[in-house]
Amino acid sequence: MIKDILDKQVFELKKLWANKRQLTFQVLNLAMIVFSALMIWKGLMFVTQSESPVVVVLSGSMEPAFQRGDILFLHNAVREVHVGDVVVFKIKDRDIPIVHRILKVHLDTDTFQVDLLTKGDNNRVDDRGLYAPGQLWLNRDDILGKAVGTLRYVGMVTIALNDYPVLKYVLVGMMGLFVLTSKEG
Amino acid sequence: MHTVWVRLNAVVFFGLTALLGFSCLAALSKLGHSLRHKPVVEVLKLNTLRSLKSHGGYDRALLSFDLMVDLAPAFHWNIKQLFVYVVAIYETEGRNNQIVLWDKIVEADDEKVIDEKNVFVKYALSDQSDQLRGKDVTLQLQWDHMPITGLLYMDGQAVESASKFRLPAEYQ
Amino acid sequence: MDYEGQQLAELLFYWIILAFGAVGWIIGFFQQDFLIVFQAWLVGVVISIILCVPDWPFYNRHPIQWLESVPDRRSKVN
Repeated sequence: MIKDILDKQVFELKKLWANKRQLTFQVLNLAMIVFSALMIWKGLMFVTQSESPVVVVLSGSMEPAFQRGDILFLHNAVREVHVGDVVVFKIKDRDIPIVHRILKVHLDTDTFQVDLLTKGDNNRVDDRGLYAPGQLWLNRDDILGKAVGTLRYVGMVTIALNDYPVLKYVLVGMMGLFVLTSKEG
Repeated sequence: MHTVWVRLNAVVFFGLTALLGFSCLAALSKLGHSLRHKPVVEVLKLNTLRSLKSHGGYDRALLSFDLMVDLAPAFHWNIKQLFVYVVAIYETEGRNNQIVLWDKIVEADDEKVIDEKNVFVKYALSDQSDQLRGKDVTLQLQWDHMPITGLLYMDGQAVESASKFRLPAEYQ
Repeated sequence: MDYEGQQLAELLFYWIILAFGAVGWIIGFFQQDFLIVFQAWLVGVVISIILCVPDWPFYNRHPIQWLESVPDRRSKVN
């Protein structure tokens, strides 16, 4: 049964290669999908004023509120942050965004600069140990955005791709096959 | 619709869209819930000030408090849990400070009434410098709603009705 | 699957998922428990996959009536 399905896919691909016009059409189709997705992403980045408007929760440090695989929607257009806000921040020179809650806020009433301390709900201690050496506080600029909404489980795919990189190739291969061989229009 | 992949794709994505629809409907069905149902903080006040010391130039106070609140009105089927925390608010020279002293996660299946006395703080009331002596501190209860689907929102005790206490003028 | 079958399959999974989900949602609303909605939805999706994705015989009851094949003209060239 599997062999039949595979043979059929190979047959479809061979047919596609023989007909260059059809191939071009399907490739352009694929490109349209990719670029539409990119446009939507960039549009979201602009509206939320955040460089990552949607993130997937990667660690368990905010359980049980947010679990690995949940999606968080971020919003960065508001300047103020409050105690208790769930925010996403990056330590300077590190790539991984961290999602934790604000524990302390010290606001300078003249300059409106803030010193912030964060902590994961599920961690024993605050995040000072994660900050850059010598850094005691985060500033507003370190914050990428505040979590405003959540969707459960939808990000599970990202986690699986992270843990088993070979799945990335399998997924892209399947998607490519699907788009190239589907006959629309 | 004539290959297995197309049909599988159609079923799965329709299913996911339907789930999204049901989730959003559930969230919408509870719009305005917090306007009509508000937890009442019966008691949140200082019990004992254990110490106020200076650690290398940074003031730190340790204390315990009493807390009595029924959080059940804040829950509904779209709320996964509440993140409840006690905030100490005080002003120093040119600065407004808000510090979480204690927090607790209350899940939908947990006991929703908190009635405890002499609770020791989880996180010390520590200042960025040495200005805690003689300051007025307000203790306020806040809680963050974590929904299953939708927007996170915070609520809290009215600051005007929150209790205050004054830290001693000398270290002890 | 023939065309009638495809239409049937599509109609079936639309209704199954929506029906299971709706019933689950109503029960969940009165119980104020979203897990019920999720479980009902899952059952609906699994049943839909089993019933609508494989090429079952009852989707092939109206096979396409192909025209008679035209004799290959090239073979008659003198």
